[in-house]
Amino acid sequence: MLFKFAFTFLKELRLLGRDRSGLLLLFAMPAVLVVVITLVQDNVFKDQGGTRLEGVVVDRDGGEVARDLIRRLEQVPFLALVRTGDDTLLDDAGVRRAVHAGGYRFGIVLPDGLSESVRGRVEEEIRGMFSGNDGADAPVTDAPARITLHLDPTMTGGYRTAVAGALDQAVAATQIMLRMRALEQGLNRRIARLNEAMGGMPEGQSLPVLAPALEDPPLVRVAEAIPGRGVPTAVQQNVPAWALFGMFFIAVPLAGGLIRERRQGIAARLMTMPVPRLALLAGKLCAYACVCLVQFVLIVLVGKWLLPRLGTAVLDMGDAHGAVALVVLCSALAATGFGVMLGTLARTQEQATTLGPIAVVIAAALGGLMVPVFAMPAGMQALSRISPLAWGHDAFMELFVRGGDVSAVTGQVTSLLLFFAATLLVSMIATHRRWRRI
Amino acid sequence: MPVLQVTRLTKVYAGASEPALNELDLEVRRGEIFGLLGPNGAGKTTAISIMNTLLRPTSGQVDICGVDAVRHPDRARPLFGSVPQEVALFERLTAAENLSYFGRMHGLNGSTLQTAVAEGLRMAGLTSRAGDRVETFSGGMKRRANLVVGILHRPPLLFLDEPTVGIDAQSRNLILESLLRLRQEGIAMVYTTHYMEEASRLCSRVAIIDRGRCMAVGSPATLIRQHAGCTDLGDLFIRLTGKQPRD
Repeated sequence: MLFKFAFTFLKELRLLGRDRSGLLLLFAMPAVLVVVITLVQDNVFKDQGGTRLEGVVVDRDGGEVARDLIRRLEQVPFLALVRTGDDTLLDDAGVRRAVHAGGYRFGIVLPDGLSESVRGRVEEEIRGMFSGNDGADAPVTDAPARITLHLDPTMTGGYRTAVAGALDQAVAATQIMLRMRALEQGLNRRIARLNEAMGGMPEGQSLPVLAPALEDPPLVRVAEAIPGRGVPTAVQQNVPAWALFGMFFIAVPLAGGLIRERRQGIAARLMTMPVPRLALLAGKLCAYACVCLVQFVLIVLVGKWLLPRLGTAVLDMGDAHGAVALVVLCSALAATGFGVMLGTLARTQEQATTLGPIAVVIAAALGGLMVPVFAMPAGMQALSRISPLAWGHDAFMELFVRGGDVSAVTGQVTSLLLFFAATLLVSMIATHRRWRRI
Repeated sequence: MPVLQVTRLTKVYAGASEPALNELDLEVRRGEIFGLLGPNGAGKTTAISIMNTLLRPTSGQVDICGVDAVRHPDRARPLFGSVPQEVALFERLTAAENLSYFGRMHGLNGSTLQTAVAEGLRMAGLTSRAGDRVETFSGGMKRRANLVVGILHRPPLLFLDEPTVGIDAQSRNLILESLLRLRQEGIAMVYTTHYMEEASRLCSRVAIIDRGRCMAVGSPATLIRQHAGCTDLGDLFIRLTGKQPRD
């Protein structure tokens, strides 16, 4: 049996080696995908430092408030502010047109009279406070000035929130500073009047002049606690993702081969020969599983060698190399099992070549290969639990990013092996039923 | 002892109202080419598929060289070769690689395998094309290679299911001559075909079956003699199975 298994294994490798379109699909496709998508996503995974959103600011106010806001916005690391040089050239409609046309990611228009309006409102608040009124029921002289923020309609939710948040934060800080300054001035005036009314303090003493620190030093700092081996890089996300994607694409040539053998009578011929079916199946599975392993190694080499030369981080695979090998092997078995099931259930090559890729793309999307699972709606997150690509990818992330070992991926490895067993069982039942029908 | 003994072989497919094969009895002796003739859907392929252990019969018995092929298909498989209707070869492998692989699946190895492959290529007239992929072959070349895969291990019994369908006269002649040589070597054959002149030329005995039943068995000459007005096997076939086409 071992002899027949070995020659079936070699025969399958030989057949695959001569299938140029199959090889292109299995090796070139995931390699190109991993390079392109990693480069595309590289900045997204960096701590915002790599991505600067370019936006235009039009200062039609020219006052202190506008200058302070612009200064604060210029300090936001992921914003790149562009000034037109002559702020009278662009009005609100012009900024909107420029942003909507894609010239800028955002546009901020600081309106004429902004500083005056803000200063007026603050002074009114402070006057109210010193007159025994807390300002809450102070008469509002006019509507607050309005800063308009225009956002590129193609910008995704996270970036929109980030830009709007940065502007809100700058406005809040400016408002606090203006209120504090007005309060300080009001109090100091009141203290001076008190000093004067008391006719001087003994030994030249006087009530202190208030000079509150408006900005520095900060009273509280937020420190991000980086878990495990640090934040994942685009390489760590994409190398296992697209390696798995390519490995599961092996289902297409594998299913195609099975269907061809069935339709051309090769399967029937082999079944009349003195060869155990297990040897035929095992030979085929092992050959394709080996191809999956080679695929993984190739994609890892892309992550270790090629991508860093294109400016990304080097692939960090963690320290649990044995666990990584185990996950790769189990993923390869799951992928080949899926191929056998597809080849058994599909009646024609067309069915297999259509259903196979669609199923893999859906499983990849559900598995968080394209969009992280945590970013999906709750329903889709629940669905992602049934994707073998999700199990594989989660296991790789556990090992690469969270610094886990083999015990951390036991669940995923078991799921992949159970999937492999289930696909073979379904294939056996389907084959048995087919032979009973004819 | 006959090489093949088939007794009351019956097959009823799941959901079918009538049996595809109804109590078929056959006996094939050493060095005999036995023709299994019948219109489309008569049950020829079903009969061959049961005899070569691909299908299980509903009832009946198949003995190959004394081995019960229904109960012990694993023991029976080394005793026969099979040439299916389709060209059951790997298109992306060369002729030599195909023969070598199937030879190994028959349990051949070493010099025995090398000799069998070389002899198979010679018999198929493909020695000069041994290193070419099957996908580059003509229909006739593929059929010839398909035939020799079945006899690599020189079995005592060979099942051939329409092995000359759709090929040119030269390739057909080469195949028929090869089969006659194999008969001289003592290999027994069960041969299905729609070509009556082929059956007349090759077969020492034929069975004409229709709707799963055996209508007549005997040597072509005897059967023709027994049916007045029939001048050849074609006439006899039409008389026993009717002129109505079977789709």
